[in-house]
Amino acid sequence: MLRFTARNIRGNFGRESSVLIVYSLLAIASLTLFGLIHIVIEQTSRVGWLELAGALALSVNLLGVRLGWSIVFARVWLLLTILVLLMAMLVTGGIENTGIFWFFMFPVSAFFLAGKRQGIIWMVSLLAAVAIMLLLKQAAIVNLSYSFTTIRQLLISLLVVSIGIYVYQDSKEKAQRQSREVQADLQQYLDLIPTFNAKISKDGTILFANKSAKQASGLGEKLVGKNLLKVPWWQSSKAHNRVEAAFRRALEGEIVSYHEQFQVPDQGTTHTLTVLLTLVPMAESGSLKYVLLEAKDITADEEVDRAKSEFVTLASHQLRTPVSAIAWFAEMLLHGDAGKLTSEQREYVEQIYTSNERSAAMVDAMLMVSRLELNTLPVHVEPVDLAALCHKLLAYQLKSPLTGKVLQTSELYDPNVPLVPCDPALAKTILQNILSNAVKYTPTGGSITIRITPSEEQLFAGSTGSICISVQDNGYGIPKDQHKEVFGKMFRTSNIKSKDTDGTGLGLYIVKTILQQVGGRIYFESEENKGSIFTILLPNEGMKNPMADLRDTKATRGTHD
Amino acid sequence: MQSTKSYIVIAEDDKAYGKVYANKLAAEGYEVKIIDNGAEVIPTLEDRKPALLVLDLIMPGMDGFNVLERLRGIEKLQDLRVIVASNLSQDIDKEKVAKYNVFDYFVKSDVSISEMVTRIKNALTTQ
Repeated sequence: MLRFTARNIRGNFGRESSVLIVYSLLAIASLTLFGLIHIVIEQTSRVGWLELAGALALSVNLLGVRLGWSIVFARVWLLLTILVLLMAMLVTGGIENTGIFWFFMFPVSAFFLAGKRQGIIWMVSLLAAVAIMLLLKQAAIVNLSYSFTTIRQLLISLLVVSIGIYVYQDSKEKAQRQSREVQADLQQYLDLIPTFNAKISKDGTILFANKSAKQASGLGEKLVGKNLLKVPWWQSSKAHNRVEAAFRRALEGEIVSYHEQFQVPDQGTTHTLTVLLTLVPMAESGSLKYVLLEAKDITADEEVDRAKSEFVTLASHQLRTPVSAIAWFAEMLLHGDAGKLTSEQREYVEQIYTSNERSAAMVDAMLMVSRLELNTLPVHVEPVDLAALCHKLLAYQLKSPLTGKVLQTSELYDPNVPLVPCDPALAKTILQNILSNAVKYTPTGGSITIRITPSEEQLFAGSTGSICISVQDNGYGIPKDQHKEVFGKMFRTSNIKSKDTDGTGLGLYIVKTILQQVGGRIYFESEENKGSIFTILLPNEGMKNPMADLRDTKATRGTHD
Repeated sequence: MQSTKSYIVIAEDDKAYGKVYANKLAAEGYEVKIIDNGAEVIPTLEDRKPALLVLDLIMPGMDGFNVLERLRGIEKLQDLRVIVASNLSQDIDKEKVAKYNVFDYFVKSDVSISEMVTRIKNALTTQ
C-alpha cells in the first residue's frame, strides 16, 4: 500500500487511472471507517454493513485494475457501486442518514472520472434514481423517510457543485486544447523551417527532431532514438570530438554556439555544410532536463564573408604598388635626386611622404585583417626572446619623430622567462601595436612600464603555464562606456579622436584576432585620464598554427566573435 | 664603353617602379635596362649579360619563377646574380628561392629606396 504514492501511481498506471485509484483508496478508507463506526458504535448496523459492502466492492475493483482490467470498466464499476450504495442507504436510513457527503462526492467522482459528457449522464442517472425512489415511496412500495426541505436543499447543492465542477472541467479541457494547439503549431512550424532542430536527452539520445533534421540525417524517423554522436552528420573525428566537447559543456548549463561542419547525404554522396550549431540546456526547477539543438546552414553566409575578405585582400594588394611608388619618389625628391629642394618644397614633399605612410599603414592593416578572417595567416615559429624584442621596439617607438615627447620608461623583464616559440613577424606586430598605443596615447611627461613575467595561468588544458606581458601607461585612458568596443574594428575612443587623428583603428582588432588564432589572450584595464594597462598572455608552449585546430583554448572558447 | 660590371637589367612591369629603378640607379652611376615583359627577359640577357638581374615575380608574358627555371638551362647565364623582387612577402616562396640559387630578395612595398640601393650594391660587390 505504501508504494502507492501519487508519483508512483502516475508512473505505473497513467494519469486517468491514477485519479481512479486515489479516489478508490479514499472511498474504501472512509467507507470502512464509517461502516465500522455505524456497526460498533452507532448501532446502525444495516447502514454500516452497506458501507462495508461498498468498501469491499471498491476493493475488488482496485484489485482488478492492478490485474489489468480496462480503466473504462473499472470506472463504470466504481460509479455504479457508489450509485447503488447511495440508493440502498437512502432506502435503509433515509436521506438524513445517508451521508450528505456522498451526494457531493458523487458528482465529483462522476466528472473527474468520466469527463464532462459522461459525467452529465451519471448525474442524470443519479437524479433519475432519486426521482424513482421518491415515486416508489409515493406508491408506498418503499419506505423512505425524508423531509421535502432537505431534499430540495440537497438537490440544489448537488446542482451547484455539479455546475462548479463542470465549469472547472471545461476550462481545464480548454486549456489543454490550447496547449495542444500551441504544441501543434510549434510542431508544424518546426517541420516547415529549414534549420535542423532536435531535442536531446541528458545521455545524448535524440528525443525529437524536426523534419529538416530527419531528412538531413538520411535516417528519417529512425533519427529519433539515436545517440547524438552516432548520427552521420559528423563524420570526421575532429567534428565528432568538437561536438562531444560542446555537448558536455551544454550539460554543465552553458549555452554553446559555434561553427561546425555538417555532412548531409545527398543521393549517394555527402554534401558538407557549414552550420551555426547552438546547444541550449533546458532546466526545470534547478536540474537539467534536456538539451535543445539547432543547426543553421550558414554556408552561403560564409561564402559571402570569404568573397568580401578576398576582395579586401585583392584591393589591398593592388593598392600597395602605387603607395610604394609614391613613397619611393618622395624619398628620391627628399634625397635630392632631382635637384636640391627649397625649404618649402621639402616641407610639401615631407607631407606627401607622411600622408602616404598612413595609407601604407592602412593598406597593410586591411591586408592583415582580411588574412586573419580568411584564416590564411601563416605561422612559422622559432624561439623568440620576447624581452629583447620589446626592448628593441620600445627604443624604436621612442626615437620616432612622432612628437618631441619625453616619456619615462621602465622595463621589468623577469630573467626566468624562457625563449618562446613564436612567429617573429606576428610577435612584432602584436608588441608594436601595444607599445605604439602606449606611447601615442600618453602625453609628454608620462610614464610607461613594461613587465614580462612567467605566469601559472593555463591557456589550454595541459599547458605548463604562460608568459605574461603587460604594458602600463598613465596616459589618456579609455572611457568606461567604450571598453567593450576596444577590440572592435575601426575603434577610436572619443577622447582620442579629438587629440590625435593618426592611427588605423584596426590595431587592437588585429592584435586580438592574431592572439585568438595562435592560442594567446589579451585583456586590459583602463580609466579615463588615469591610464591603461594592456596584458598579453602567450602559452609557454608558444604560438600554435591555427590551421591545426585540435587544442581547446580559452581564447577561442565557443563563440565566433 | 661601359664596363659590364655596372650594367644592370631590371625586369619590372610596373611603370612607376621602373622609373624609380631607372632614375635612382642611373644617379648612382649604373647603366640600367628596364624590361616590362617577362618573355623578353631571356633574349635580353642572352644578348648582353649584365652584372645583376633584378627580377619581378609577377609580370605579363612570363612570371619570375618561370624565368628562373629557364635560366638554369642556359649555360652562360648559370652564374648570373639574381635579386628577386615582389609585391607581397607571401609570394616569396623561400623554398623556390633556395632552389634557384637566388642571391637576395626583397618586398618592394616593405623596403625604402636607400635599402633597395644598398641591396643592389651589395649584390654587385660581394664576391
